[in-house]
This record gives sequence, structure tokens and C-alpha cells, in this order.
Amino acid sequence: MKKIFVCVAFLSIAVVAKAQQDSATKSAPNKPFIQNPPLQLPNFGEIHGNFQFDAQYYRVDSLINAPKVPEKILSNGFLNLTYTKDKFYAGLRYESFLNPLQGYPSGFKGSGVPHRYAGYIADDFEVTVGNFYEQFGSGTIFRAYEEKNLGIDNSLDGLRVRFRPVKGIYLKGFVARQRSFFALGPGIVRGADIDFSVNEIFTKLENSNLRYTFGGGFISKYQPDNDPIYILPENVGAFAGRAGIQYKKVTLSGEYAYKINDPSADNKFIYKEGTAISINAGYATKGLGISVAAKRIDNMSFRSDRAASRTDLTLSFLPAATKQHTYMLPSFYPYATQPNGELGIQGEITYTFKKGSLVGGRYGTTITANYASVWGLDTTQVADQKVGYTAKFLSPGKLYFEDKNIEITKKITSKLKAGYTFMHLVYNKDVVQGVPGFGIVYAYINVLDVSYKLAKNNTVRTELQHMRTKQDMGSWAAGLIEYTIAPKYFIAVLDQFNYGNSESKKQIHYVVAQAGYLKNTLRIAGGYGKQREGIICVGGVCRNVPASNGFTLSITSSF
Amino acid sequence: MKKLAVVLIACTLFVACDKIEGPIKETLTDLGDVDTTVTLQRALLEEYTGHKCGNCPELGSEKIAELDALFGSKLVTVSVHAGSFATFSPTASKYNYDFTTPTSIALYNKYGVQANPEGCVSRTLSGGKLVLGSGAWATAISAVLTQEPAQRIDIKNTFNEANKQLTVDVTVKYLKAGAADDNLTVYLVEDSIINWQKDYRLTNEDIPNFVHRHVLRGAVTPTFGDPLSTTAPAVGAIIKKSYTYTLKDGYVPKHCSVVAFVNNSGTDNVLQVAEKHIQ
Amino acid sequence: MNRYKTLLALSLSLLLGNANAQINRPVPAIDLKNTAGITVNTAAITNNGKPIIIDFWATWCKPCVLELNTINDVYADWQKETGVKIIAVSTDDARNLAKVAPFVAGKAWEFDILLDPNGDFKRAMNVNNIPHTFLLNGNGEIVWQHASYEPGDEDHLYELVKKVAKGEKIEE
Repeated sequence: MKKIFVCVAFLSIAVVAKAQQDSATKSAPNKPFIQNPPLQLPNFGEIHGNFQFDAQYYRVDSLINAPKVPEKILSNGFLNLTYTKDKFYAGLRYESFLNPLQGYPSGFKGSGVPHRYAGYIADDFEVTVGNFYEQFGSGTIFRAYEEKNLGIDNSLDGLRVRFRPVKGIYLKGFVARQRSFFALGPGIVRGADIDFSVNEIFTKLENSNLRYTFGGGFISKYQPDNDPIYILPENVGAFAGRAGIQYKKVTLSGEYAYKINDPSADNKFIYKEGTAISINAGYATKGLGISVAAKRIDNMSFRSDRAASRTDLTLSFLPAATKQHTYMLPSFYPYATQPNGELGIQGEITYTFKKGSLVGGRYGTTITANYASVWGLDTTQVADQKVGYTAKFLSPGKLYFEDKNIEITKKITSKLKAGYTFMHLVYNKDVVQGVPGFGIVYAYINVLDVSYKLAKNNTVRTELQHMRTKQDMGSWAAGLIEYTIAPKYFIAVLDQFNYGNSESKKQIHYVVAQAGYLKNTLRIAGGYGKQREGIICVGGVCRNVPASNGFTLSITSSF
Repeated sequence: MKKLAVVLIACTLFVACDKIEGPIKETLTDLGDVDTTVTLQRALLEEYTGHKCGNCPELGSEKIAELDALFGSKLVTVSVHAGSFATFSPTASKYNYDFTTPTSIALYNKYGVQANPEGCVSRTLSGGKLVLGSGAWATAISAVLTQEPAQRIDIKNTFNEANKQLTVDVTVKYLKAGAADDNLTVYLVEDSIINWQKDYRLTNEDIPNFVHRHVLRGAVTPTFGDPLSTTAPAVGAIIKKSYTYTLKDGYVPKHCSVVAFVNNSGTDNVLQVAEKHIQ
Repeated sequence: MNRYKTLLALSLSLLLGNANAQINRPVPAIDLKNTAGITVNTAAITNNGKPIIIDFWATWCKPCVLELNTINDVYADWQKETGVKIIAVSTDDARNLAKVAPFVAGKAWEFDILLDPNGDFKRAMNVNNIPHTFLLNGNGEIVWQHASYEPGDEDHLYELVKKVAKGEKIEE
């Protein structure tokens, strides 16, 4: 305990003071210097950082439903600075949203330093004060993380300690409040987690073929009950236990999570407990990988503010147990976990046909097949708000989502590479987007991706994509041509054409042209064109990104 | 059961969990008759809603009915229709009525509303947020109502049926010292408009004859208010303001009322609010 | 006070992206797990005095997979000539974490894999987007980094690996 106090006291000393103190203890030249390269910084530690700036100029386009943006130009930007000196570290992030880009939470409006921290890390012990990110297990009850491209940053602001009493046992605990845009949420969050890596604890098991890990975490949030109508629980706890076993090429892992009564805006203020179970199995040998997973979630939305909605102040991280697609049309209808209840399975196999084999050809061929299906729970509503509903354990309810896809990638000659993807999708738009009345979308998608190396550093790549569907907006075709001159330039033109729209005036080409310059870690890219309305889904919440028409500029750098 | 036991042990060992075993509703006290001579602290709830918002009847309208029962005349509600859930097509068979007004669109944009139903309570931060989900309204209203009233607002409406002209006389009496940037904002609200509303709970989601309550119809003053004074009003200062407003065709005078509130243009907070029928 | 000014000036020169600020920087210390569940501290990564490449990637990231596929084809040659070791740091979160090992095996990749599911290492290394590649010299110090991947970049990377293997300085 004394050690903790020493460390906390130590941390309260400013970065500068620390630098001075250390420089005195070492035999360093006691003179100021700004030299030419290379800069040797024996006394001052290391400062590094990264920077990102995204801006868009918006034009009104009533045809594609691009709304009027009074500011005309919106931008998001940030700069991270990290400082490390031996065992000490500190950092901060300046963020500026003037005003936030369309599709980002409007709460970000403004500028400031919402993220700053300092810490001390020894071999077996670490303490952090200020903002930090953390995750227990797979995050079912707790994950504080950032996802810049989705406008998510639910970091914690408080105090965290990590401790390793012996090799293989990892303890961590924290007390903090959660970031909510440029302020903090109303709840106080406390958590502790322990992780056992059995083969690391017992040295004679170090090289065993059989490997075990297990662990558990507990989270409790406190939020005062000032509601004049309901008696709300002020302290809400959640627990998750996990275990994993690996024997040679086979792995099996599982997690169980439980949450006590947590009436919230998400579950419409019912007092039911929440549960989540997930099981993963895998097989991996050179050239073949198989993974299967099953998951059941029941009333597991967990936030540090019971009234919060969308992506605000989430504690639980419940990612979709489906394949994450990145091509334009396969990612048109993304699935988002329904935290109030779902049942899902997924399987994936990746196989590489060896070089020189019949299918493999001269350079080998890789095939990935994936299947995922998600259903709602089979529930019965109960009038008593304390119960809310009852759900059967393993009986699937309505189909929410199904995805069958196969991807084949092949290097045909030393210059020519090709990839082909086929996907069949069943998408319950009513449930996933929370807009009943649309029904179910059935889609068949084909993607052909071919790249050809024209010269040592010049490559041209094309994508041809097609999505056939009778529902929603009808069929789409899309194409892309990208020309890269490594290591510095790229130019690309892409078009998405909604030729199957039942309204002829909405059969629009969404054309975007982009060009960029790259140098080491600097990337500057500009674009112009029409972006279609799209959906970004996170943790069961989908955010609609409105259509837009205009210029974009993006700069990233790190140093 | 075993798991539950483990969880409960874990809970009690580490930090307390509040398992609600008893009734879940607070015991309400009878509001009784309101003494009109005493100045009440009132809260303004601006609900952002739309006729195509299928969650709004359950999470918005029914929640407000519950709050009305609880807070009575201490709560003044204005329903602001704007945004993607309030779009309409005059030629369509459903949702062909325009609930939006320039005032509602201006409010919607200023507060960056992104989902419905949401609302501001006296434009005051609650839990660090200005725009709140309906689950947070009751708490925020309670917090506003614990404050001592800063002003007393009296409204006198004179309505001319023939030319539909409404004259609004507002008297603001400062009970606490005010600020030079205090504004007076006056809105016209119409109750009980019968029209289409979506409700996701129903098999047939489109309700043709939904009763839309306290719909914002327009601003009598500029949207964000009219300065009350050029200097900071002292305790006891009485400021009188008079406005005229012409009701549009189709507005039902007996359902219309005037909502007047004092809002500080610096902090944006609504300090006091009052409501009065025009007839 | 003088030192304070120096620190300020230094941070400013770094901030302004002064190309001269290319320094041999150690790898920050973060505990990550590998696919066998064993904890590895990133500051302790070594390769017997030979160069190391740290590449941030994810199973869903097309250019990352393209880059690693391309390098995997020539990795045996690279290792033979320079002794370079590639550590591919997967930034996949809980959504895809369990799929990483089967994916790597299915692709027949030979790289060492580390898992960074909550981005702790990614943040400590100031990575904006993936792919992002770091080249370490024999002392485990970062001597060069590059963001994004374009076909042909691997040739340039290998030129630098050969220089580092010979103990030459990288001037870019």
C-alpha cells in the first residue's frame, strides 16, 4: 500500500519537475541544447504524437437528400502527445470539432483537452491517473475504448492500478467517471479484474501442450436516484467470468456475464437482470483455420448513465458476432448487436491450397467461407415492470440477420492478383435499424477485385460490385479504379449506382474521386463527390450518416 | 442459483449492489390545490418529436402524461416537431400535415437534436447533457423545481376573434437580482391536434387520429427571445412587455395557449416559465 | 527554468514535424498476449541483434492483409538474407479476436502474432490508421515508420531492412 502512495505522490509532480529531478541524478551534460540531428535526449525522455484532421465542404443536394449545412464547412481534428521517460509516462489529446462532421454526435461540438493522463509503470506494478482505456475479458461488462471513425470515446477519468503479484496473475482495478464528449457522465464506475495464465504461474507447465487461462471481472456503477416516480437502484453491479483452454492446435474459450437489476432507457426501465454467454472454438494449423462461435445476450445493455442512449456512456461492449465487411456493397447492410436480446452463431473456415497444387496453381489460392446467423430471443411479455419479460434459453425467435459468404483470393501471375466474393444476406431492417415497417431485405452480392502491377511501383486495381435485391432501395452496382504509385501517390474514382431504385429520379450515380499524397507517416487526401446515405452500427446502436455532396480533405500524421 | 449466489457474494464483498426487492414506484404525495398567490418555480420541457417517430407515443407522449400527473402545473411542456421524423408530403394519404415551423426547425438545429423523442428541461444541463432522453426528464425536472423562483411571470392574453389577432401582455417581476442579458421568450402552443402518428407497438403502426398535445406553433418574440432590459434588473424590478401575434388559419383558438419564459442569453438556461390559455 | 525552456523548444520542434527530430526511439512497454495466451512485453522484443518489423493490422483490413500476404511470399528470403523478424500486431477487437489465430493459420502466414484488442499498444505507438509499419534496428529501437500500404512499398521496406541489418543509418 505504501508503494501506491509513493507512486501517487510521485505522479503529482509535474512532467517538468520529473525531468529535472532525473537529470540531476544522472551524469548528463547540464546545458540547454537544440542540436542538429540526431537529437539525443538522455535527460528529457521522448515526446511523440499523432495528428488527424478531416474536413468536408457541404453542398445542398435535395435529390440525394443531402441536408443544408449552415456552416458549409465542418471539421474534426485531434492531436495526441505522449511523453515517456523511463518508467514515467504522460500524455494528452487536444480535440476540435468545429462543428462536428455530419453523422458524428453533435455533443462533440467545440474544442478542448478532454483526454490527459500520467502514469508510472514498473515491472510488476502500474498506476495511471487521468484518462485511460481499459477492458475486462472480451468487454461484455466493460470496455472503455475509442473508435475515432465512429465518434466513440468512452474513456474513463480517474485512477487505475495494475498489479502482478506473481508471474501469470494479473490484477487490475479502477475508480473513475466516464467521459461524455467534453464533460463527464453522472455515474461513478468502479471495477476490478483478475486474470490467471496457469502455464505462466507454474514453470513446469511452461512448455506444456495444454494451456489454461481463466479470469473474472466485476463492475459497479453508482448513479444517484433523483427520479420522482421510480425507486431506482443507485448501485448496479455486473460480473463476468471467463475460461480458455488450448491443446496444440485446438482452442476453446467461454465467457458468462451477469448484471443485476438495471432499469434504463435501453430496456424501458424494467428491473430484470441481464445475462450473456459466449463460446468460441478454433482450430489452427498451417494452411487451415476454423473458428466457430455461439452467443446469447439477454438484457445486457450496461451504461454508466441509465438515461443515456445511442453510443453514449457505454460500459458493455457487445460487438456483432458476424463478419466485418469492408467492400462498399457488402457493408451496405451491417448488423448491429441487439443488447436487449439475441441469439447468434458463426462459423468461418480459411484454407490455402498449396503452391503447385491443382487448385493452388503457381502461387497458391486462399478460400474463406463464413456463415453467421442471429435471431431474437423467444420472449413473453410480462405486465409487471419488475420482470419485463421472460425468455426461453435456447429457442430462437425472429430472424434478425443471416450472412453466407465466400471469398477466394488468388495470385495468378507475379503481376496479376484477383479476389472474388459472393455473399447472400438476410437483413431484418425493422429490428437492426429500429424502424419497423420496412420488412426484411434479401440481397445477393458479387464482388470482383483485380489488381495488376504495371511497373515496379505502379499498380492499377479495380473493383466491380453488384448487389441484387428487390427490397429497400433496390439493386446497386458499384465500381472502383485505383492507381497507386508507391510510395507516394494514389488516385481513385468510385461510383455507386442505384439503378434498381423503383423511383426513376432516385436512380443516381454516387461518384467520388479521391487523390492522395503519402510520405512515411504523413497522408494527405482530398476528394470530391456524392456520398450516399449510410449506416454505421456500433454496439446495437445504428447511426445514420446523411448523404452529402462536396469536397473532403483528410490529413493524418504521426511522429 | 449457484451462479447467482456467487454473484451476490461478489457484489457484497466488493461494493454494494442495490437489488430492488420492494415496490419500484415512489410513494407520491397529493399535490392538493395550488395557491395562486404564491409564486411557483416551474420547469419547461421542450420535447423533440415527430409524427413519423414510432417510439414517441410510448417514450414521449406517455412519459409526459405521467410527468403531468406528478408535477401538475409546475411543468410546462412544448412539443417541438422538426427533423427527419417530422417530414411530410402534402400529397400523400398519410403524414401529409406540416407540424414544423421555422421556430421548431431553428430550435432543433441549435440544440443538435439527433434522435426522437428527446428533450431539454429548462435548457439546463442535467448529468452534463442538455438534450436528454425521456428517461432522464423526471430527474432533471425535479432538480429545476428545487430552485427558488427567480421571477414571477404573469401573462394577460387578449384575443380578437374577428381578425385572429392576439395581444400578449407579460409582466416579469424579479424576485432575485437578474442579469442584463436576460431575455423574454414567448411561444404559441396548440393542444389536441388530431392527425397521423406512427406507433411501433401497434400491428398497424399508423394511427390516423392521434391527439398531438402542446404542439409548438410559432414564436411571438424572436425564437431565442427579446431582451428584457439593458441593465441588470434589481430585486423587485417589474418589467412589462407587450406583443401582438396573428393566429394562422386552422389554429383552434380554444386549444391555444401562450408560453412565456425568461431565458438568459449567455447561459441559455430558462429561469422561470408560465403558461396561459388565450381564451 | 532553462531546462523547461529547452523541453518546450524541443517539443515544439517535434510538434512541427521537424525532419531532424528523427531519433532512435525505444518501443514503449505494453503487456500484450500472443495467440498462445502468453504475455509478451513489447519493450522486451528482441531478435538477436537483427532487424525487427512491427506491423499493425486487422483481419478486416484489406490493405493490411494484402501487405502481409505479399511479404509472406518473400519472408523466407528476407529472413535468410537479413535475419529480420516480423511481428504482426492484430488490432482486432473482441468481435474478431477469436478468429485471428485461425485466420493467420489459414493464410499460412509465418509471422509472430501479438494481440492488441483494446488498442493500448497502437496508442502508445501513436498509430492513426492501419496498416502502419515500424522498422526496429538490432537494439530494438525504432528507426523508421510508415503508414498505409501501396503495392511496391514492400520493396522499399526491404531496402531499409538490408541497410539496418548492415548497421547503416536511415536518413528519411
